[in-house]
Amino acid sequence: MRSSPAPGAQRSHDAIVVGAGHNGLVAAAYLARAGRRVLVLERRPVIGGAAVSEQVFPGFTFSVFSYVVSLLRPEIIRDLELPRHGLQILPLESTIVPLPNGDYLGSWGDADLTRRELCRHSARDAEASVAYGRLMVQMAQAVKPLLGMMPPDPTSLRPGDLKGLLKLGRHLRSLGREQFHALYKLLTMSSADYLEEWFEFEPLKATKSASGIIGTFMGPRSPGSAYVLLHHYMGEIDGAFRAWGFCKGGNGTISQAIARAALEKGAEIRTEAPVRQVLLERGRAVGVVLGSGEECRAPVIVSGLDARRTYLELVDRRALPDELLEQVQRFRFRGSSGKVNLALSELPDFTCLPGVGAHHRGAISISPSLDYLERAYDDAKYGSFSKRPYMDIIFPSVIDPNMAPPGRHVASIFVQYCPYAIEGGWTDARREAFGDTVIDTLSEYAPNLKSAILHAQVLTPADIERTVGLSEGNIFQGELALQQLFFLRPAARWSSYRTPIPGYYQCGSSTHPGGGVMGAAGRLAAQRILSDT
Amino acid sequence: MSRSFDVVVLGSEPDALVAATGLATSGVRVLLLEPGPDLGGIYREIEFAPGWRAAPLVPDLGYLDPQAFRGMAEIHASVAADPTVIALGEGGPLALQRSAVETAAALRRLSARDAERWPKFVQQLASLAGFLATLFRDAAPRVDARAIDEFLTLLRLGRQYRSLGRRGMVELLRALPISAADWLDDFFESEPLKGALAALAVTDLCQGPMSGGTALAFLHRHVGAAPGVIGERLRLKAGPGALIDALARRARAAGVAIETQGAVVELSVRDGRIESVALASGEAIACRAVISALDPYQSLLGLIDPVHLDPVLIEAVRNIRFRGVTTKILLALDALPDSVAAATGATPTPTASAGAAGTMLIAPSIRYVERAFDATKYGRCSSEPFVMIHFPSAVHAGLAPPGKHVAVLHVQYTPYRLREGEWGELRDTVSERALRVVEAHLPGFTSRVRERMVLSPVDLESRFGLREGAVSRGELALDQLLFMRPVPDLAGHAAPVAGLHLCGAGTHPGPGIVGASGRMAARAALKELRARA
Repeated sequence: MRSSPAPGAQRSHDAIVVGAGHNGLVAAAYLARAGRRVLVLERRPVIGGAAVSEQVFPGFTFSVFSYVVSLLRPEIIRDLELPRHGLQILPLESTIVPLPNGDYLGSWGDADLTRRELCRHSARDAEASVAYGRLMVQMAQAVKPLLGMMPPDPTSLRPGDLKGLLKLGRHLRSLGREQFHALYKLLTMSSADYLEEWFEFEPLKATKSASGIIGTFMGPRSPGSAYVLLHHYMGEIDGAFRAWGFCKGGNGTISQAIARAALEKGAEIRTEAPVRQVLLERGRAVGVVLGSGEECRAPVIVSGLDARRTYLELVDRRALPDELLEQVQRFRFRGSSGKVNLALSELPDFTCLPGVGAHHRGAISISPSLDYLERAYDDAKYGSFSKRPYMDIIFPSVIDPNMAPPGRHVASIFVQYCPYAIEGGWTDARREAFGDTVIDTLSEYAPNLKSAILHAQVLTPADIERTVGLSEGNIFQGELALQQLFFLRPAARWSSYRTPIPGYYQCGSSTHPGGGVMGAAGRLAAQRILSDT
Repeated sequence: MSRSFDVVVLGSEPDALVAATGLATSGVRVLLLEPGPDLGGIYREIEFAPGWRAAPLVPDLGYLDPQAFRGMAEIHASVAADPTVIALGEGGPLALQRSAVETAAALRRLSARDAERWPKFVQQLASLAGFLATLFRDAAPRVDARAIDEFLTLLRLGRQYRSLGRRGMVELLRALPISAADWLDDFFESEPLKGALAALAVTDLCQGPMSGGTALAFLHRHVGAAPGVIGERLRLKAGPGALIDALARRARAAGVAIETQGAVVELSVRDGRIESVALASGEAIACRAVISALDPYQSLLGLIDPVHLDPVLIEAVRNIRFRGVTTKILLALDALPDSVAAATGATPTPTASAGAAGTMLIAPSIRYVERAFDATKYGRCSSEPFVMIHFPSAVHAGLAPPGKHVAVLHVQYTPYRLREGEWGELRDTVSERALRVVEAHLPGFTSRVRERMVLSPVDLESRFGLREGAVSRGELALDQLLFMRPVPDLAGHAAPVAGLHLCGAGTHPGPGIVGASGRMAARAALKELRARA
């Protein structure tokens, strides 16, 4: 059943998606696939939001912001036939953690090799990691159904929500007592405490815990940071499709592939078409006004922007209940990570593993100890960037030679903590100082780095906000903290992709299940719209 | 074997006495054994200087479980006046009193907005803490609940949850995982207020106010508090020892045999069942059940041969986090310093004590408390600790010679596990630092100090038997509460050995909720005895 157009309005589209980020594109593709006429409007000249590949320096292509594919839902890859549209995910199998003493901790694609490597540092941890891995896979399996679940409203007595809550309850009960307790611990503990129950080797605990702090403003010792540890294991259980890795051509390729899938089904995508406002008539969303003043009308408007922009900028606040406004106003963004993209004349030569080797095909993690990460957090807590930051580095040109001219390389450095709210505000000088800190820190492990740098692009949360539009530069459109997840994301009652305004929907990472290049929110939002209209 | 009882109760703190009385009233023969010379454990005052006494660990009696204390008129008759928290910080002392109107008036000086929000905050606190009180009335709900009585508990909880109203339900879900800092930031802007409330949230916790889960700790601390009252719940005019005396009288009247100097060294198990307890004196006392109010670690790993325990359980018990962070300093004062009277708004006279009955708190901002916490992450004591000051003699004059006073300083953070230095050398340093902080806010204080006793976490362990000096007997954290306290499979107050039941602060519902765990343990033991009979 479709709602009929408002009298007098000329309707050329069934739905308008605001923002061509990956979730917006996924939503558009699913809607188009179901036969809806969809228009996607993007402010920037390029599509993809934070999932873009750009030639920042001549010959050097970067995944400027997001740089790995994390948990892109297999059903989306399948439904939208993304491989046919150019998506190719390449493995990022190893992680090397260079240590201050000149040694390193490695984990490789080969499980045996990894175990032997870990044994070199701690036989106990090598043994524990087997049981740990097994439990985490079980936990990932327990959580995975929630990622694809429409969150129920925990405050409602409506049959649909009660059914959802019941389903959730049944799912949790079906885990059995032991697994439920294990899951509960993961949801509530700090990653440091959780890992300390298992392991003793500091660099191992630190490197594992680092995944729990990404995109949040917490240290590894803060309760609530353990949950994200699971994400790494969810990739493993997805089976046939690799859900974690490097996207050939950079992360822009993902956006392009999804866009092609949408276009093939008849969607229309316009760039340089900033949406200024969502048009409301008699309390319903009926269209959008572009920056140019042009109006586009459709009975369904889907915002792929974050919750703050979706509610506080695109629509008249008076159309929203206080209850929602209050929740959105206190929804926390607090971007905490920065990015440094380097064009290099040669690959960094790591003291711990001299020369060019297999380790350049994987990730390099600067996370020597939990104290190191905590100290990095301490700096951010009081308003400065970490003097010795946590870094996650990959060399896309090694995996995909097209990313740089022959013989040259690119490095993608994810940096935390780099707070949005820096004391005194972000200035060019502070950005430069931040970039220098990153390069200096990395140079300690790879002394040739400085002389190899041809160009550097330094991005702070303020830059991310300005360029991509993510509020406070938060890469997940809002922190992934327990009080901002599932039926509380972005607000209780409005976690199911609907908004209080009929015809107005949300599909960005501000909604369940949150950030990472997953696409799940876009897909669930499309399902919601298709069942509503 | 000369003597035999149905049940032996270990320990003599309120939960032990409540459990013993409950069983004896049902016709069970009960022996209560206190290892030390006096009943009451941490509730008993110690004489720290000739003529000066205090019970440093129980400034606040907590929430007396209404069912466990039913009919004890003498306690209700002895309740001291409503306590006040006086926050000493910038802009002069700020008194948080039971009357929301008066507190709001005091707040207006700092922020009109905060003054306006205070009544709403107090109301929300009461409603959320009220929900926890319902949750704490019975054994923790189990995930795999099948029994009808557990189902009824769940049903009642569900109803109580609904009765919070939609907004209240959201606030509850949100308050469970969030940090105190974020939670308070959503309400208030003035630092002296937020600092004081944040300090109350992290009292005795090895977490800073910016750590997740600390808002819940604040709520837990206010379960059973009279609406409007902040910081503590109940004090008796005659001190905490009076509570023990009253409970012991009631126990004896019910027929409980009570013995001091009864240190138990082993719980003998045969065929998976408690058979007898072995005393340090060499005596063995036959029994069918044991209720231990000692901490769960001691009860399970200290008294039972591990061959009777499941290795998974042993591991879980070893992983309970205790992590004491508090040093208590007991001070014998010649007189109350004028500055104390001035801070309470009373006329400064050497004997004035009326206003000193509450808590004085030196925690001028959230940042101050967080910085104090930072040190513990690296195994050090804070150089600028937050300090809470009580004057027990202002309530109970008998604790000091006429006209003289007792002050107890609660100094945080001072970790049990140090990475630098040893407690033997640090005691004086910590005491100097704490007094310097106090002197800065209460000039002339130090000059009134005649004697002092410093109890570091290590001293609290050796003197009071508190593992790692943790008065909580297991850190108050989301993953160590409810069905996770003390460890997942023991949450029903029953241990893995038939006939062994646990109670006390280390079990559900946790520290500060007095009598509830004793009542529940007695009920569980009675049920088991009857099933066996």
